[in-house]
Amino acid sequence: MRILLIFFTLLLYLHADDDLSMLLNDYKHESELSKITKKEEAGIIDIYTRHDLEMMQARTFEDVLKVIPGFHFTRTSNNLTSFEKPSMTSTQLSSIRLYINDHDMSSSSFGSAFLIWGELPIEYIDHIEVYKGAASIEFGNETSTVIIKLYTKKAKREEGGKVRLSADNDGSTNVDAYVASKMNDFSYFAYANKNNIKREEYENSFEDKIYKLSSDHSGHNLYANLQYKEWDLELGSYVKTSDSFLGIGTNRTPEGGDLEADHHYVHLTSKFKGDIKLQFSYDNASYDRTYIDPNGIVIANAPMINNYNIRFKDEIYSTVLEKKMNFTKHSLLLGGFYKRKKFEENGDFYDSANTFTYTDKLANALDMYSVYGEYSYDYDNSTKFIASLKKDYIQYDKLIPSRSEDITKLGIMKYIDDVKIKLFLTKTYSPTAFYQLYNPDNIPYKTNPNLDNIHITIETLSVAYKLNKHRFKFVFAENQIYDSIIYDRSLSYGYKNSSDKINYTYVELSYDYLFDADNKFSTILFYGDNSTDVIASPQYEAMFKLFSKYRKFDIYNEFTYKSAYDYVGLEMDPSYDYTASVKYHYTKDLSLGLRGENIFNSGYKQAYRGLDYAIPVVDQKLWFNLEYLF
Amino acid sequence: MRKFLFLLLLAPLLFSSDLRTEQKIYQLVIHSLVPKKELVKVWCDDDKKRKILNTLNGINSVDSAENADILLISKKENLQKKGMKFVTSYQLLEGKEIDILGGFFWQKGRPNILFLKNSLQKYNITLPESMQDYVEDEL
Repeated sequence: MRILLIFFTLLLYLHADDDLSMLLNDYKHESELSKITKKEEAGIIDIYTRHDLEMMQARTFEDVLKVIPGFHFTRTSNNLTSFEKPSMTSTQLSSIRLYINDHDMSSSSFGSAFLIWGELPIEYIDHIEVYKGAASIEFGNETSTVIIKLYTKKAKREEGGKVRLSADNDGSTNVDAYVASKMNDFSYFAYANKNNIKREEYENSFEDKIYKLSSDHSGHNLYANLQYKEWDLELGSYVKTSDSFLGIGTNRTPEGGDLEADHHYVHLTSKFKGDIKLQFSYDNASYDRTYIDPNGIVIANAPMINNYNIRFKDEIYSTVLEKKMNFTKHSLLLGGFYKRKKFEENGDFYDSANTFTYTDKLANALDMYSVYGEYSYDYDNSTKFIASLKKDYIQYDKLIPSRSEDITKLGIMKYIDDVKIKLFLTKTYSPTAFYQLYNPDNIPYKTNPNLDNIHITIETLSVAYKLNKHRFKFVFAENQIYDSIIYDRSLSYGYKNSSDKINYTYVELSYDYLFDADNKFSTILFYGDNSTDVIASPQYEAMFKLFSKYRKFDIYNEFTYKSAYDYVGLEMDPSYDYTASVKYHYTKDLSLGLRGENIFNSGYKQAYRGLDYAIPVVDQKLWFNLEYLF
Repeated sequence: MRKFLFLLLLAPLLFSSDLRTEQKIYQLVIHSLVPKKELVKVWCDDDKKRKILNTLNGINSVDSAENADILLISKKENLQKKGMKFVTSYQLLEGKEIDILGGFFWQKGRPNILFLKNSLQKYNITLPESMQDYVEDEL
């Protein structure tokens, strides 16, 4: 009997070892911050957990944007991050809103964060949530149909620090470092990044001369978070310089030119008893763009020029107040915010011979008042109804009439055993940015007071089914887009509202198989179509991802297929992107990694007007990566 | 004999899917640190942790630190209390109190468990061989 007991006890103790390390690993997955922050009521969600980002060896935001279903991540001819919905041209950038924690990163001039923050280094980001078909009411700020939320790492979980060094085969370098500590009620997290990224250079020939199409960029990113009890202070600063790629010249023959941009912000959040949250923030951003093209740049109301310099300066003051109320079956979110957005635009335009020179300047500002509420009702344990309403009042300092907009959302969430159904109907708008109201190409600058916001109706249905280790999801969405803003170079105002209604249909199917907490296989198929005659980007995409852990190795495989498309007279073949990474954990604190991007150089290519070939959005690259935790 | 039987009975509890992982970890750690008691009395200064303890088999959360077999400490001021202690943050470990047996805390972005050798020796606690990887000579 005694021998038997000792045997069982030994068995238990042996098990305890596996058990403890296994339990810690399970606990890490179970405690992912995304499980706390995600808002099921807000729309169709895609989540990239810290584990996912680490396995992928994601270095910048672009590494994640590339795998978000429902969009083709691309770049514009002037080297900015952009998106295309399947079948559509580049989407209105203000329809995708980026947050870092609760801070809206959008600039006043562009109504978007992606002109500055698209290449953001993300080592300080814990996880990313993407909400599609959102009304944005839950996030207490300006509206958009897609919300991307980046959540920073938290001091209470980091306690210590990290250094990450990366370099690629083209000579790019990237350094990330952070430290974090918690002392009783006070904690801090501080992060710094410096990067110098070399990109593949292309050429364009015109009149027997070769012009380089360069898109290198460099910069630094600083972030700090200080927390004391219920007070949370965030400071962020991102500075970057990037080449102008194809520029905006008629013949795509740039000779120099660049973008120098920076954005600094401070955000203070305080939580009070009674589930009240109060936020103050201030943003200061500038965007200084120069294009030089010896063969001419065409802008409205001017002869052909060769040098184009435009400078935007933004300031945003924001206050948000929210209160949540929870009852047995009902919950209510009430909130309001006030924003003051200032915008200043300066331009210098001249030709090489200085026969034409023109300097222009214009400034305006707006006050935005918004009140919103969201009510949800738990009809029973498996059914929830959601109704949201938001009213925005926008008052310009001058020249543009005041306007107001309504946003409404109705939703049902239904759980039937392991099936989760979400149905949302949303009526919203996409705010018009200052740069569209003042077309920078139209000199002297003139206001276009009649340019209306884009109005959108969205119907989304998602059905998710969980069966043991299998996860299935089906998403169907219909959008009706009214008053879409299009650019017409022949008009002095440039931007105008289209009277045509555009219908957009989106279908997504996904399947995940979870081998265990560290190993999973994921497949996503999606399709998009629109009611216009133009198919300007791939309609179909299939993506396969495999996350695997073997002993001390983390292995990630990503394969993406995009269908053929025609754009600006170029017939584009289907694309196949294979990206993979391997990380070796030498110790618990030291790891070495390799990440190959667009490994077969057959990934997605973007066609550009005025260029007779297409250019890969992601370069073929090999990144070396060293990470040390201390 | 009773101890062995008790540990034997504990095994299925550790693998029970009814418990969340954090509960399983506390159950395993507390019974490993106080192996001689079938019912371990724990004093805890954190409400959330106390709720977790109250769900565990063979563990009883008590109101008085003097009556406890082990103290689960989250607040610095309670390090003064006498008795074996297990802490929930890395800073508390740095106090180098000889009565601190170890801690379960977040550090470097991951959950960690650590036992301090000197403290274990003082209380004559021998952890299972297979848990020795978590025993450190010093911080």
